[in-house]
Amino acid sequence: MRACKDDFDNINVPEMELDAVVNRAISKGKRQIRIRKGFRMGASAAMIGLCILGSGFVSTSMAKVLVNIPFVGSVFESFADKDLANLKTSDLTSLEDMQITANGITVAIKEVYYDRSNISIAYLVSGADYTDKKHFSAVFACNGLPIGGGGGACYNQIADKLYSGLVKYYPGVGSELPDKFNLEVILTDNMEKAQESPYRFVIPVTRSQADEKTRPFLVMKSAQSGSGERTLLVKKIVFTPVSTLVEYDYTHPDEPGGPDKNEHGVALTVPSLIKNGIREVLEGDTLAFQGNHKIRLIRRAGQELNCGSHSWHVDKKNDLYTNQCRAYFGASDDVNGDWTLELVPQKGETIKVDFTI
Amino acid sequence: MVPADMDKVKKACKGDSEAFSELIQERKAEIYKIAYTYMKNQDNALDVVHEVVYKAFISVAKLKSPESFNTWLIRITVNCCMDSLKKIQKLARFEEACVYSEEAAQTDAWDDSANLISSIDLFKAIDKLNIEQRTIVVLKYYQDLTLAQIAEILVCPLGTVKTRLNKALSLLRRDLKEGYNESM
Repeated sequence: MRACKDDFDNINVPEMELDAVVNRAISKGKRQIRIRKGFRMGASAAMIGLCILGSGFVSTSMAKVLVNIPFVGSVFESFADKDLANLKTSDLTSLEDMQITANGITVAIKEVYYDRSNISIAYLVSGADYTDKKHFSAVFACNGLPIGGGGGACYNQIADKLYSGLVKYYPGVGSELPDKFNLEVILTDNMEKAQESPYRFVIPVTRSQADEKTRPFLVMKSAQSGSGERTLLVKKIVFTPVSTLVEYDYTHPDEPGGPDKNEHGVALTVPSLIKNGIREVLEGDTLAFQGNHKIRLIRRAGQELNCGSHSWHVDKKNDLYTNQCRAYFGASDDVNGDWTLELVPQKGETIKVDFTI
Repeated sequence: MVPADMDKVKKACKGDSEAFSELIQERKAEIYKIAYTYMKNQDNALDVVHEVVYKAFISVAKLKSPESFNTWLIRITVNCCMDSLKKIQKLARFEEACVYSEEAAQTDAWDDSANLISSIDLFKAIDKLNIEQRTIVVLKYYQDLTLAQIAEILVCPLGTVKTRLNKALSLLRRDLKEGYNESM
């Protein structure tokens, strides 16, 4: 027994690597807690409250008297996000004079990143402290229309009356953005009154640089459940420098988890959920669905990428529902090899589609 | 593992990241060694340590009983190891090899098991066990935990722990005999 215990005690511990891993895990935990304290927008419906955004934006050419904010360096880097850490400074668009001061608070957008998977902005807020209940968050729009999707944010209190924010936003199904456009951003500490915020910006963005490092693949492979009543079709996978985007269709019969129905059992559509005065985001007969499945992206070498955001748009045909889905996962350093997309329905067996890059 | 400093644990539960970091520093080598016995290579063991520390950090505020900090941390470690093993699909090949009759398990005497296990190469022996048996051997013989503590960590009855340990020792005994005969 003693010899056995000695074997255990004698396992060589790689001190340096272990220290690095522990520090990285604690840093990740801190960021996660910050993110929990921030806001999450899970679906495009959260964005619908934003009205027409066409006027009152500040552009780079409209430099005003700038307030000096005591912060040097990259706001992106200060968050040390694992995925965004893949980015080089040259991948980011740095903004020197993109700031607005109102009511004693200055909000300055410092950096922007845009690729086929997400839009991220980093900003500073001077003249106000971060609190759980009151802090500046961002909403995005293109040509006056809110961009549907989901995302998350995290914050750092830098000093008294000074904090930074990083918002990552993943456009949802139906939010096709051009390669190059004027991104409209409203920063507000009151999401319900976002349209009244004085902190409105217009930022020209392009993804041409990111596209050079992006690898899109058409997959078009499908698999059925054993009973044949459910089908998973993997359409496309896109590896960008900061995330992995998968587009797929999930076809299934009516089942628990969706679609949402009214008291008469009639499926609700997104337009019917929209309140007075709020514009429609998704066109057509789009059914209002709660999530009815989970999705996993696994490299057969063993790596599983974390699913960060997941959106869908549902159609019905011949008693079958088709979820057109877009899921965002973490970035992968090495994309070549065998992959599996695994769909776990609320009811029924798991469906797997294997494909090779 | 070293006994937990209750003041530090309480501070960690209240969000003191320095206190949490110190608690982990005192236990990181043990966590790594447990992970290594499961994962069998440095990279995978370090990945498990990362997951354990991260999960512990974001959930320490929910720890109801500071006295059970060590047990709680070991439980997270064991669960992370199991999850990782499942992910890399090392589990299936052991399932068939580990079906034994209850009769055989019952006839294995406790008192001579220590001598048997001492002469078997640790990693080779552990590879023969299924995940539940391996966990119990690691906790019992390498972490010096009592069967009651193991039952608490694995959230299962004490009798189940005893049965699984018996089966594990039975398998180790058989493995030793086969190894001995082969060497002759």
